[in-house]
Amino acid sequence: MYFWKYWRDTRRGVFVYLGVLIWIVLFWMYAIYRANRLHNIGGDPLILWAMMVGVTFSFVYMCAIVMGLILGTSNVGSDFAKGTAEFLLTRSRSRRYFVWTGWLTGMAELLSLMIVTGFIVVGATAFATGPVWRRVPSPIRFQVDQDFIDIPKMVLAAVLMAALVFGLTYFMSVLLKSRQRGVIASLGILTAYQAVNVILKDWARISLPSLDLMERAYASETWHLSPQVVMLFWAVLALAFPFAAQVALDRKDI
Amino acid sequence: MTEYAITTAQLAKIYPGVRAVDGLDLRVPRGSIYGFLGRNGAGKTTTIRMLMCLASPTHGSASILGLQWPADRLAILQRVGYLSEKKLLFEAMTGRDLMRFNRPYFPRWSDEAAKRYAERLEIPMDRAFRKLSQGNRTKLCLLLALAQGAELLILDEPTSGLDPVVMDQLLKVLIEDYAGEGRTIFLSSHNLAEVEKVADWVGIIHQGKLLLEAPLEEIRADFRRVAASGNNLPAQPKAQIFSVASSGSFTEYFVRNDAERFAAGLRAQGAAVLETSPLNLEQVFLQLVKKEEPCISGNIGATPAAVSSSI
Repeated sequence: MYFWKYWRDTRRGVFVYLGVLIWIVLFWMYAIYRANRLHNIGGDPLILWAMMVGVTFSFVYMCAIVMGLILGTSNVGSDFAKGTAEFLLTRSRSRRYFVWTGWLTGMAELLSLMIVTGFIVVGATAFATGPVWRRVPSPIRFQVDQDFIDIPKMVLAAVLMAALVFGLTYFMSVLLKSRQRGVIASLGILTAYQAVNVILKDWARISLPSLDLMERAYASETWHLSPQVVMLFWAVLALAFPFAAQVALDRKDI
Repeated sequence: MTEYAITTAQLAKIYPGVRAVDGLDLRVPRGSIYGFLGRNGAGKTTTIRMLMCLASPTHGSASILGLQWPADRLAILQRVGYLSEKKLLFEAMTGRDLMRFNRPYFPRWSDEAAKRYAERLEIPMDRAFRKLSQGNRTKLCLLLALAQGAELLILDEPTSGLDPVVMDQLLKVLIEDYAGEGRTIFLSSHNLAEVEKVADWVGIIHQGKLLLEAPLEEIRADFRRVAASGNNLPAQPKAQIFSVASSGSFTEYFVRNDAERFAAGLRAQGAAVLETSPLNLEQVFLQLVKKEEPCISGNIGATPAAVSSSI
């Protein structure tokens, strides 16, 4: 039943997100239509496809971060702030049940939203331009000028980023017993990490694993590690957050 | 099956600089309505939170319905209904939604009982919790606890903030429907008149320590105020004298057990015993929390033999 409560608590955010997405996509379709009329960009299918992929993943990536922050706050932590944690945690289930059920439901919603976003953006762009991927030799992996575009890796990067932001916010909300404090702490940690990374890079020539997963997913400069190792590092960290939330909740007095 | 619904042994919760609960030994008999009394900050809610597995004790142990905390936590939660002091539920959910949410967590949940209590307590089940009055919120919280088929109800200040009509409705349901079937109610309160009306056992906690635990009938029978006049009368609480107030040659004693024998002892000392009168729960409570000496569970005073030696 906690699945059901989680969905009830988060569905408004999901619908608002979808509404905003549809408006943005409509604007995007109009922009393509105007650009085609003015500059005839549809003349080179490869560039048009690269543009579509770029826009789609920009949306998906943004979705991952924003919805990760929003969905990450819907958990037992918000029940502390609302005063309902006593009621929830005296239902006959372990505390870990509530942590993991919330996390799994949130992740499922997040991934569904990313997939829906991808389909809507690609579908809308294809509708506005004609199905360009049929005219591209390899629509999954291809190179445009200096950029090498690998869609599976971009998908993986977006999923990882979603899990990371969601997990961090989830953990901080449980730890700090508040959704507001959870979001602020989560944003603070992500910003501080990026700042430390920049400072270390400039002053000590040390690169921490980059948070800019989309750009750096397949660049091996970070810590001189392979992209797979960097991805694995973030994946392990993303999975560590619900465990940390479980430990924090198990040890907490309500 | 043990004879006690709740037992605790040296249960303690210590926060930095505060001993919220300090070596509590409770014995709550099965089938009783147990009033757990204390002033604000006495440790009532902390004790209840420990019993409901919401807070872990610093030391000591607790057994609920024969189950051990924390090993049997889930079994305890299945069999114990709880009404928290805050009385807050998910605010966007209606009564029906809350029933739907609650149902799978409790194997003995009864929709029929929920429906019956909703009708009896006149709860608008289709209105969101946030739109309910304080009285209806409390009633809905109680409905959820009752419909889960709990063997023990733990109620933390169940009637605070309620008008007399709602209070009466709730107490009737608790006594007639719930306790009438032989189940146990453990309720904390500082509304002494309410507790005196419903409880058959009473525990008084003060500064984390249990000062008294006894059947209400025993308290009514054994606690007395003895007013005496004379010189050189004992002026300090001792043995069964749990409180003394002196003014000139007039002394007022609050005694446990065998007040007549105590009065006889005073007369033997040359004092004039002006009055021996029974005490109600409020008077006992007020006198006890002035003194702060813990007593042993179930033992409400010294033996009668100690009377003469105390004076």
